[in-house]
Amino acid sequence: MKTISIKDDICIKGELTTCGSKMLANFKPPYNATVVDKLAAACFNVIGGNTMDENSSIDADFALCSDHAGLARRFAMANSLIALKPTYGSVSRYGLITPAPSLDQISPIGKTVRDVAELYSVICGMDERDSTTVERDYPNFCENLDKGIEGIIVGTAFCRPQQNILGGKMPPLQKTIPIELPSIEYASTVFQIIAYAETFSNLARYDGIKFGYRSENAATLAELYENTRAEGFGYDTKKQIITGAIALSRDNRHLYYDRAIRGRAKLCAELDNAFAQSDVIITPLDDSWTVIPNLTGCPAIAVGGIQIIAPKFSEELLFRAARTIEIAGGDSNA
Amino acid sequence: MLNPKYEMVIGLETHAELSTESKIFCACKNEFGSEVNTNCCPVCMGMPGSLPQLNKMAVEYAIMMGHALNCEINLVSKMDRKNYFYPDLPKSYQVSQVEQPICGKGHIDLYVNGETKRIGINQLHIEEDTAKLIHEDDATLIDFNRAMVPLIEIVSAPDFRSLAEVEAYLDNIKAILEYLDISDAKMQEGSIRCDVNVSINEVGATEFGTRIEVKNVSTFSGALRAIEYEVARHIEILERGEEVQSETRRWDDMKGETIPMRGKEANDYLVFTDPDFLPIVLEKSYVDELKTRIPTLPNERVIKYVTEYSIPESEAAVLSHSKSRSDFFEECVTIGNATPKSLANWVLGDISKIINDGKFTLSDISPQSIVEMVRNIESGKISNTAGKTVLDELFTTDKSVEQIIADKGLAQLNDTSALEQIVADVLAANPKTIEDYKSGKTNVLGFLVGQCMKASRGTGNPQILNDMIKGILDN
Amino acid sequence: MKNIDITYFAKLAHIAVSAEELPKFQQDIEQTLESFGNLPEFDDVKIEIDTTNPIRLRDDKVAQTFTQEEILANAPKQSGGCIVIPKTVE
Repeated sequence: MKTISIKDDICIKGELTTCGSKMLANFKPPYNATVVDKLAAACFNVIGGNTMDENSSIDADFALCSDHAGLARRFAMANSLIALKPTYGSVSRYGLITPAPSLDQISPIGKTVRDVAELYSVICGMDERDSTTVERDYPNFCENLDKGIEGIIVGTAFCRPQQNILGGKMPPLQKTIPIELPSIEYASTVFQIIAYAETFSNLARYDGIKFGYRSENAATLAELYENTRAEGFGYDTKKQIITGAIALSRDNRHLYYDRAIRGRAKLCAELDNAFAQSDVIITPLDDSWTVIPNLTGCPAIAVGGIQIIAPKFSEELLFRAARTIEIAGGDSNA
Repeated sequence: MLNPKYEMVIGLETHAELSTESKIFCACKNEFGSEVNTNCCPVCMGMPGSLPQLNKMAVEYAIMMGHALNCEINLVSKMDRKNYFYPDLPKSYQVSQVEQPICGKGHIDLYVNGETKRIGINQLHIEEDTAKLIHEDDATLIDFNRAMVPLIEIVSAPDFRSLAEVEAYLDNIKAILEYLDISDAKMQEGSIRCDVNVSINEVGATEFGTRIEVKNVSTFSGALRAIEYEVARHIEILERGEEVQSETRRWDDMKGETIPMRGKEANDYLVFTDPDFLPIVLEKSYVDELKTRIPTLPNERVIKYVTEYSIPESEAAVLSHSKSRSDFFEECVTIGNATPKSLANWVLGDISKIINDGKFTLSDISPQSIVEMVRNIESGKISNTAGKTVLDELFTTDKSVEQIIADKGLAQLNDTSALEQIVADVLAANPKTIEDYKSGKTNVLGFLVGQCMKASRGTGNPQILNDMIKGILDN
Repeated sequence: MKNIDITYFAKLAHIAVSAEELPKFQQDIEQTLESFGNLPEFDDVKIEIDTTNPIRLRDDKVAQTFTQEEILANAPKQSGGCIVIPKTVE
C-alpha cells in the first residue's frame, strides 16, 4: 500500500486541516481537496496534517505540499527528496488552503524521480471545480523517464562552471548556454508584493463568523473581527496582511502592486526569451530563482540541490533531465 | 417643490437578481424563501480551499440586458475582487467586474412628459449577491442562502434631471427584465434594488455639485422620496452658505430620511483582478445571436402607442410594462377593424381587472374575440355595458362573441320606430319629470334615458334614446 | 517610505494592534516597504488580458450536496439554523 503524507493546508474531509494556525485549529472541512479524491481513487493511503516545515520529515513513501514560495522545493532539498512545482493550472487547487492563489500549486514530492512522475500523473488534470485548471491531454509521465537529454539545449543560470555544480556529479552536458534574466534582481520583491496583496485578500475570510477561531472578546462586531484576527493569526501573517493592504491601497498601489504586476509580466517575457534559446534551465534554489516558477507559472523540479525549470506543460522534459542527474548522482537503481 | 435656482443631477446603480436555476459561482439552488442555510456549500460560504465556477446563464442574461440597453458587448472581460469586511460577505471580498466588465457604454430612450429623453448607461456587469442579515434584539443572525445569487448591476450616467425621468427609467428597467425573462424583479423579495447618487448645482453652473450616495433603497417609491429628501437637504445646506459633505448615506424608509452610513466609508476597495478566474472570452457569433432574441422593448412600444395610436402617454406606459398584455394588445391591433384606443382601454381596464383578481389569465381569452367584441360596440350593435357581460362570458365559457350576444339578448335596439314607441311610453308616464326638464333641470334627461333602458331591458341604444328625448323636449 | 499610518491599515485589515505591538509592526513594515522601494516603474510593460486559456463556463444546473448541519458544523456560534454574531447596526 502506497502511503502519502499530505501537508496540513490540503483539505481532507472530516479531518482537522489547520494550516498550523490557531485560526483553523478546530476546522474540519466537509469536503476533500480534489487531489485527495484522486489519490484515494488511485489506492494511495492518505495521511493528513503534516506541517512540512524545516523541522518535519515525511513518514511515508510520497508527499504533497503547497509551493507558493518554493516551500515544497526547499522542504525536498532539506530532506534529500525530489519535488516538482507543476505548471500552473495542471493540478487542481480545489481544497488547497492558500494565501496566494496566483502563485501556488500543489507539489508532488518523492524519493525518486519515478515516484514524483507517478504521483504527478495521478494528481494532474483538468478539474471542473477549479476553473483555472487547463484541459489538455496529459501523457503518462513514467514512460519516457530514461530517454536522457541527448539533443536538449540546457541553459544555466549558474555563474560557476558546470563541473562545480552538484559536487562534480553533474553529467557532462554537450550544449549549455548561459542564461540571464535582466530583471532577476527584482523577482523576490515582485513576488513578495503580489504574495502579500493576495494574502491580505485570501485571509480576509477568517473573521470568526462562519468557521474557525472566534475571540472571546467579541461583544461588538468590530471586536469580533479585530480581536479574532489579532489573536488567531501569528505575527508574521499579520505583518504580511497589513503590508498587502498597503500595497493595494489607492494612494500607494502605483508604487507597489501596480508596479509588481508589470514586473511580473516583464519577468515572464524574459523567461520566454530564455526558452527561445534553451529547452530547460538549471538554476540555484536562491531567493530570486526559486520564485521564478511561481511568478511565471512554469514548472520546476528540485533535485540534488539544484532547480531545473522548463516551459509550461513540459514536465516530461523536466523528468528526463532530473532523471539524468539522478543517475549521475549514483542513484541509478532508483 | 424644487427651488428653481437649482437643478438636480441623479445617477442610478440598479441591481437585479437573475432568475437562474443555480447561483453565480456554485451549483447551489437560487431560490427565494427556502429554509435558512439549506442552499449553501463551501464555495458560497467562503470556506477555505473553495473555488468559484462561473454560471454560463448569468453571463448570457447579462449580455441580453446589455443588448436591450444598446451597450457595447466586450468580447473579453474579467472578474475583480472588491475587498471589504461585512458579515453578509462570506469571503470578505465581493467578486464583481470593475475594470473590464461584460458590457460597456449604452443608452435607453425614455418617453417622459411628451418628450424623448436619452439616459446614458456607463456599464453593466455581473457580480455576486450578499448573504442576508436578520436583526434580533440582542444579536444578528446570518442566512447564507442569498450569498452568491447572480446579480447584474446597471450603472447609469448622471443624466437624470427630474423625478419623472427616474421613475420612467426604473419602470422601464423592471419591464425590460420581465420582457427578457431574466429576473422576476420583485421589489418585495429584494430582487431589484438601487443605490442613488445625488448632487445639485445652480442652474447654468459648469460643474456638478458634491455627490453623495444613498444606499439601501429597496422600492421605487423609496428611491424617489430619497432623492427628494436629499435634494432638499443639499439645497438647505447650500443656502446656509455651507458645503455638502461627500459621504455614503442610507435611506430609512420608516422615518423618511437619509442617515450617514457607518462601516462603508473609506470605500477603498483595494480592487485587483481575481486570480481564481480566467478571462471571459465570448464568440462574436454567440453574442450576435443573442441580440436576435430581444423582443421589441417597452420604451419603443410606448413611443409607438403614443405617436401611432394616439394613446395617452401614461396609459401607453402602463400598457408597455407587462409584456403579455402588451403583446396581446398588439395582436388585437394587427387583426384590425377596431380602434387601438378602444382596445387599449379594454386591456387596461376590465381585462386587467379580471386578470389581477387572479382567477384567470390572458390565455383564457383570444385576441380575435376581443376584437370582435369591440367591433360590435363600435358599430353600435351592443352597448359598452353589454360589452362587460360579453367579456365575463368570454373568460368563463367557450362561447363565441356572436353566441353570447344571442344567448344573453344583448343586441342593442337601434330600430328607430321601436325606440320612438318606448320614448313615447316613458314620457307619458313621467309628466312631472318633463316639467322639471322644461324648468331648467336638464340633468333629469339621464333619468328618462334610464327609464327607457329599463323598459327595453337594457337593449336600447342609449345615445339614440338620449337624442330622441332631447329632441322632443326641446321643441 | 517613512510614516506610513499602520493604525489606519490595521483597521482596514480589521486586525487589532495594541499600543505595545504598534512600534514593532511600524518598524518591520516600514523596513519591508523600503525594500519594495527598489522596484523600477517597468513603464515599458503593457498589461494585456491573456486570452489563450479562457474561463470554462458552468451549465446552469443545481447540484445540492450539503445539508444545513454540514454547512454549520464548523460555526463558532449558531442558533435556529443561522450563524450568530453580535448585534450589527447598519
